Amino acid sequence: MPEFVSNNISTINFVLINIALGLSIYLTLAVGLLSLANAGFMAIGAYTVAIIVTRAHLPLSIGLVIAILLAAMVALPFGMLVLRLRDIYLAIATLGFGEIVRITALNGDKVVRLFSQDKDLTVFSGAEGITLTYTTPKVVLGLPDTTWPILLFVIVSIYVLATLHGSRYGRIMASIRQDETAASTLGINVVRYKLLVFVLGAAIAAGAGALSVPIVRVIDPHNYVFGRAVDILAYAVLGGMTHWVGPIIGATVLTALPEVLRFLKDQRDVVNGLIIMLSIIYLPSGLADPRIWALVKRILSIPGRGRTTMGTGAGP
Amino acid sequence: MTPPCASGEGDCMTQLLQQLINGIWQGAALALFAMGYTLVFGVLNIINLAHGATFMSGAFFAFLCVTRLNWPLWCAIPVAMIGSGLVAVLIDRLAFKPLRSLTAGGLVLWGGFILLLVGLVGDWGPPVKNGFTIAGAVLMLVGIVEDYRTNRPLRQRDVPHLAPIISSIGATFILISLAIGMFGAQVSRFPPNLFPLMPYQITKNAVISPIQALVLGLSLALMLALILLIKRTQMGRAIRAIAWSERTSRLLGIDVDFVIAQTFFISGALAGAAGVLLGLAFNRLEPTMGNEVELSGLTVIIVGGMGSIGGAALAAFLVGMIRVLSVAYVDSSFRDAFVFALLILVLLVRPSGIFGRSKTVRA
Repeated sequence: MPEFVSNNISTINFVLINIALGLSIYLTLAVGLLSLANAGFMAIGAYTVAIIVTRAHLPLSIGLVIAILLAAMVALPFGMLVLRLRDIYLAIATLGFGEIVRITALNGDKVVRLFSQDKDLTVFSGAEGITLTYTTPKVVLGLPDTTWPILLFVIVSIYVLATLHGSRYGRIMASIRQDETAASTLGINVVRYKLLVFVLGAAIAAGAGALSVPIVRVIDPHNYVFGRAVDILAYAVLGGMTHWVGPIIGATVLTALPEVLRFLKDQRDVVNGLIIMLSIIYLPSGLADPRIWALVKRILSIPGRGRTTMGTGAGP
Repeated sequence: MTPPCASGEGDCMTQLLQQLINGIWQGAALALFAMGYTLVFGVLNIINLAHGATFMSGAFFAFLCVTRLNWPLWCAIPVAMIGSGLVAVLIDRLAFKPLRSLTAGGLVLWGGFILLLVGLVGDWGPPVKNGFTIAGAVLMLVGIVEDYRTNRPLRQRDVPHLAPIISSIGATFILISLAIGMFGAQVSRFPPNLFPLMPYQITKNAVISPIQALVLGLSLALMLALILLIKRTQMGRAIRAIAWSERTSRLLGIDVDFVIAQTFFISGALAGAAGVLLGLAFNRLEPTMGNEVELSGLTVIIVGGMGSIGGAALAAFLVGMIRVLSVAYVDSSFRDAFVFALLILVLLVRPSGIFGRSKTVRA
């Protein structure tokens, strides 16, 4: 492994996981939905894999597939129920969902024991969480074998989003975000696209949660509290909500920043909160704002095309 | 933990009265919190997610007064209310006002705020630290004064409707983190003997402790005061006028910005009072104590009908009762699950709230 990679491998892992999480919330924001359920779906993914790996001793890949399917199966009926709510109401309902997932993880064992004969059956391990034994990851092609799946997952997610963005569906999503009523009068089935995006976002969040298991190794409910949902939101807000490059930039900056700000110790959240506030107030289109890129291009005097490739508010 | 009344049916019935009393005093404190929440929503149509952090700040203001300054409690509670009211006004100025209109004063205020945070958080020697803090505070004052002197904004703004939610989440992070820096992440407690512990007997097997009686009495008094303020005074009239139409109120000569600041002050003071009272009743203060009550508060204002103060008060008693009864008869760890089940149910079945008017369906 190159020295830079081996020194910062945990930061790199978390940057990749957070990019995937940022992309998952970007999907819902791209149709104008504020869903704070992603931390909950991440928890579903992580717990599914942790349970499958530790209790059933199956490999991670099977766990990943089951985790994604399970999250999608939960997201579909939940989305059907709540997606007809608008802005703040949806945010609150999804916040409630995240809390219910957390409470389930915390107290699930009591319910499980109630229904089974075994009084010592342990599935979720409550507040202690599930701990995986540590094995030194093997280095394959210059990266640890725990990093490769995350990298591949992120690349696949980006590919899917980029394809969506440039396709008819991307334009449909942008039109729903800008004016839902106008979009529906044009014959777009708004509810169906919202549901599609919600389920896809849940699947990506669950995948990120699942792949984070070998890295964090201790899966406990405190990882998936309200603050986690806010972190994920911050990636998309800082980066920008109109293009998929936004959450990638946002997640990278916000994950690497605490390493730079290590001297602030437990007060790093001040900077986090400050960045969220400043970027939503003074930089509402995020760092991936086409105007900023146009400015950068002008300063570097790169002959740009008439329209930037970053996509305008109206989509490509 | 097994429910306290698992031993037999008879116990449950005798305990019921006690549980109802607990539900009422907790509901009363929750009502204080939720009324300020819903007041801001009614006036500005925004959810102030930093309301929970304001609640926490009230509790810690009182804690500071009692432990560091050795003030008596009757003096600490009003001071805490004023302090948390000012915190709420500051939250409005920093998180919400720049989203309504950009002003020169607002920019100066933000610059001062950043300096203040650099001073508070940074790891420097006392002279540099104090210098930054004082310079920041002075600059913030200049910004606020400047805002009042010139009321012509640089630019009116039309931001996406998600923006206030997101910026108030940012404000919550800053407040919680500052509280962790000052008081530590662990649980702080008021000194013992602050209050007599001997409970009053109400009936043969129902008691209420003095502190719980104080919570109930003070909450009811403040609720009444708020309702009178909104219904009977000139200030309340102005608040209701802005809730009806900000534009018309401005045309009629109401100083909209000032009235909005008053609204935030009232809302913050009520949240702070709730913070002190619940902090005293459970004797448990921690920087994240606002998060839990925040979620219960959201349930309350939705069940009560967004913007309806009376509805919020009634719904708070309902939610308080559900929490207490689920602790007593099911399991303490599931109390929030019941609250959220109620929340999602109400959102789906009757989004205008149980006690709200169904004239306009808002969700």
